[in-house]
Parts: sequence; C-alpha cells; structure tokens
Amino acid sequence: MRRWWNLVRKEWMAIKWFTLVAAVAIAGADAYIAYRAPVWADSLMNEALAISVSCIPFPVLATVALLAGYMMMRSEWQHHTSLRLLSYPVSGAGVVSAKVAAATAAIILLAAVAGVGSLAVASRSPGTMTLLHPPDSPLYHMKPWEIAVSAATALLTALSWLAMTIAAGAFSFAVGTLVPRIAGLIAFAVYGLLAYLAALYSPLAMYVASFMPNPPVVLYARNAIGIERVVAPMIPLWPMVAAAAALILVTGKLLDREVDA
Amino acid sequence: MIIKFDEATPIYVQIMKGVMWDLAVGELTTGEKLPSVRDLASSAKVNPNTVQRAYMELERMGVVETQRGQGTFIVADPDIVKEVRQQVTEGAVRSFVDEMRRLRYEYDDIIALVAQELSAASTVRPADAPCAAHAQGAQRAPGAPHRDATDTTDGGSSI
Amino acid sequence: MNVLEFHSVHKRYYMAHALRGIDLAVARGKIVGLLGPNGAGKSTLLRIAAGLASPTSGSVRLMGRQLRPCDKRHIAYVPEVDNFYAWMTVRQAMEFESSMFGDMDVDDARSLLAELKLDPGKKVGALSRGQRAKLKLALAMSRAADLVLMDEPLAGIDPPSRAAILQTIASRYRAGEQAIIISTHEVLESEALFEDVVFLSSGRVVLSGHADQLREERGQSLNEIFAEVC
Repeated sequence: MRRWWNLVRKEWMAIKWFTLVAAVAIAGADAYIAYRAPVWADSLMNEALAISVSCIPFPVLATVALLAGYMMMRSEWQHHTSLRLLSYPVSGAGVVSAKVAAATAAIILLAAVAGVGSLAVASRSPGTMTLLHPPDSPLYHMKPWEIAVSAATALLTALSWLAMTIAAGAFSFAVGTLVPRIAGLIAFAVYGLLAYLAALYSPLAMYVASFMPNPPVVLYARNAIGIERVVAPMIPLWPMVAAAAALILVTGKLLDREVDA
Repeated sequence: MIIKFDEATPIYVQIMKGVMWDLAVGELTTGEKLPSVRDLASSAKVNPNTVQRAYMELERMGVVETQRGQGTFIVADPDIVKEVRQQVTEGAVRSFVDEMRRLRYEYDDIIALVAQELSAASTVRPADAPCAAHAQGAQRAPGAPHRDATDTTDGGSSI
Repeated sequence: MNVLEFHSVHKRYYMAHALRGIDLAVARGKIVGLLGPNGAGKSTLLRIAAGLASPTSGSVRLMGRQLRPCDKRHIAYVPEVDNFYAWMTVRQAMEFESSMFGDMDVDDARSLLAELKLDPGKKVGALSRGQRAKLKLALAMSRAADLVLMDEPLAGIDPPSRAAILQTIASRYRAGEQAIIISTHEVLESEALFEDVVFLSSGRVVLSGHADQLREERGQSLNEIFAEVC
C-alpha cells in the first residue's frame, strides 16, 4: 500500500505543473469574466454568453478525461519508463489504478475550480440568475442535508465516470502494445469498441443496478398540484464503478504478462 | 598493482603472477599488505571472487597469509622473496625456451641468440635486426645451464 | 541455491522465435556473462527473468518459486535504454527508487552518486548519456537485490564511463549474496568480471561454463571463444 501511494505521488508529480497551470488559467479567466459580467448585464443575451463561456472548461475537461488514460500510459512507453515502472514490486492493477487515481484527482480539482468560477460569474449576472433560479424556485425547499446528499452523489458519480473513462483509455493502450507496429490503430479500435459496448449494455446494466442500493439525488420540482420532493436514485453509479474496476484489473493482468516496449 | 590481462590464461593465475612478479622485483616486500580483494577487483575490473581465489592459491603456496579482519599480507619469512624470485625466474626462462623450441631452435641456436641479444642490447640495439637464424657462429656462453629439453613444458601455467 | 532457473523456456513473438528452449541455472554469488551477438535473444531472456515478459512455454523460477509481481522486489533490472522520468532530479530518482525497494542503502547510494560525480540536484533529463548509464547502474548496485540483470551496460557509452561502470560493478558487487547477469556483445572489455559465462546464439545456449575453466581448457580468451561459437 505504501508503494501504491508512492506511485500515486509520482503520477501526481508528473502532472502537477500541468494541473496547476490549468487551474490558474481557469481561475483567471473566470475571475475576469466575473469582473466584467455587470458590464455585460445590459442584455440577457450577453449575460448568458458570459456564463456559457465560463462553462467551457467542463466539456474540455471531459475530453481530457477521454484521452488522459491513453496519454499517461503512452508517455511511459515513449520514454521507456515502462521498463522501470513495471519492474517495481507492484501489480499491474496497482500501476494502472495509481494513474487513474492521480488523473481523476487532477480533473476533479480542475472541475471544482471551474465550478466555483462559473458560480462567481452567475452570481454577478442578475438577469440570468433570476431566470434560472427565480425567488420562488422549488429548489429553495431543499434542506441542508438534502443539498449535501445530492452533492455527494453527484461527486461520486463524477468520480466513477472519470475513473471508468480514464481506465478505458489505459486499457485501450495496453491492448495496443500487444500489436507493436499498429498499436495506435488497435488502441483506437478498442476504445471505439468499448464505447459501443457501453452504449449497448448500459440500459441493461442500469436495470440490474436499479435493484441495488443507490445513492440518491434529492430535488424539489413544481408540478400541477404544487411542490414535489423528488428522490432519484443514481443508477448509473454502480455500473460505472464495476466497469472501472474491471478495466483496471484486466489492464493490470495485461501489464503483468507482457510489456512490449 | 597493475595487471595487464592476457585473456587466454585464467585470470586468477594472472593475478597470482602479478603478485609474485611484484615480490620478485621488490615492488612488494615481506610482511607488506596486499590491496583488499574489493580494491583490487575494482581497480583491475575483475570479479572479486576471482581475486579471492588468487589470494587463496597464493596462501596455499605459502606466499601470503590472511589475518582475520586485517587483510592479506606477504608472509614475513625473508626466504619467501628468494623462493618466489626463483620461481618467477624459472617460469620466465621456461616460457622463453618453450617459445624458442616452438620456433624450432635447437640448444646451441638459443644460447647464441641470447648472447647476441645481450651484447647488442648492451651497446646499440639495431632497429631492424634481421632474423637471427643465421647467427650460428655466435659463441656459447661458458657454463651456461644445460636444461633438459623435456623440462620445458607448457610455460603458461607453470609458476 | 539457485537464484534463477530457466527450464526449456521458449519465447515466440508474432514472426520471430526469440528463445528456443533455454535451460539455465544461476547460482547465488556469481557474476554471469550472457554473451551473444545482437539478436541472439539476450534482452528477451533478461526481460523474462525480470518478470517483464512471460515465456511462451517453459518455466522460470526465482529462488525456487514461480515468479510473481511482488517477487520483483528481489530483482534489479537495468535495461539498455534509459528508463528515467526526465523531470526528476538525480536525488528524486534515487529517493523514488528507494521508496519502491526496501533493500536500498540510501547512504551507500549517496556516496556512490558522489563517486560517480553525479550532481544530486541536476535533472535527469539534463544528464549526458554516460551519466545516465552511471545513474542507472548506481540505483541498481546500491540495492541488496538477490538478482541484478544488466542489459548491455556498456553499449554506446564513452570509454571513461565504461571504466567507471565496470569498476562500480566490481566494487559494489555483494559477493556471495547476489547474482548478477550481464549481457553484452562486447566481450573484450568486461570479460574479467565474469565468473561464469553463457554463450547465446539464435535463441539457444551454445556453450556455458566457468570462465577461467574455459580459458584453461581451450587456451582462448572469452572473446576468441565468442567468435568461434556464436
């Protein structure tokens, strides 16, 4: 376990500067937009534009997550550090999960920075704010613990999606290394196949997961008869956790068997 | 100690020869400490086990002794220098004679060649001396030791 | 006891048959020269011994047991390529290695880095090729690993660094405790280090034995034997 933490630390050190620079860039951009927001508040259009610009980091981060697992593995192979990394007395699953953990943490950190930034922009855009969240919004009925539970569920879901996506990238790369000359092509095909399988089987997986205890999201909504409390179980959570674990274990097994550098 | 390797002979033998040569010419004296196995292995880039083996063989021959925790020393016996010197000399002469025999020289030719080389070396050494195979007339040194031919066996491994 | 054993190990890649039935036993306390021309299968053999590749058939045993990932802690593997994280400093590389292997003597590693004139504050990426080779070696030789595997430690290195590498191996080798396998196709310079030698050609062991015994029996240097059998 101590070795695993050292590996996580190493992965974090490798992406530390990249992450910090990105965080500063996002915070800076959001601060500027928030500062300028009242000036743009003359029209609703301009306000909405400010908020959407401040939300750009989210799709970017999602794209980064799609590529992160593949890129982190590829850099080890490119610099032959795979020969060092895999000579450590850590199982292949340990190696992959350390990468997944570090990358997930970095992306969550950036997402948190972007989230705070977007809130700051929104709070300084009164017109849009009242439109999205009017004074009689049913969300004002949420109790503090309900907010906490919903936020925790959302965080868990984000974490498991990130872990699954990053592990999928790592898995694709590992399969690619088995076919040295066309590794990139194979990895791309495997990634596509994974996406296809996910689309094909996710309804089934979510149906199965609906029988499991799922963390809820608590919301209040207005309907015909008034304010209604909605408790939605987050059924994609367990399938994503299971997929992440399976991908990490299988990738680990591949690495334990063969490192084609 | 500088060991120049002739890689075709076992390396432990070469280390032994090196020590004995140094002792014969006075580079090492009785009671002197030899470099530690590790130091010699490192400076000569040799396997420490091989150095260890050479020291053990030397100890078996009575040339060196190991004092626990202190290292390996040339034995304090003053006779050892004489003895080793004689062995080294014999070895050198034997391998020279052996080589000459392989070049198909007979007793008299060898004596003559040595005498010629010695007299030439004492004055000026000709740069391109013709192969001295015709130096039949050179005189034989008086009282030259008469070694039996059968004695000159393989010079490489005899110390 | 044998540190490493190979029993009829075969390794096939898609097209190539890299190892064709290797039987090998490496005893504790030996420095073994794994000699053979390029493409003889030396790197593949070392990689399998290090647990970085698995044999197509046959078995590999480390100290009598099947090799598992956690057994890698007994092994120091030094590949021919530079396998450093370029962003680490020399000190960080050493500390990270010691955090992954419990058997590193950190004080010894520090003094070895000083002996080899490696500046601990320098980034690994800024080192010369010879310096990186020395660092690779220093990290392996300051560990009390049972098995050290070095793949062509001298290849492409300048002569002074080669001398430093050979001297470091000779002086840091834990005689009697560890086994070292050194693969090389340049026999001349390193042959005095080897106690045992294994000649490999086209994926087969063509000759093996005690180095001094082979010299005595054949009246040849290892380099001459190499030219003859490989």
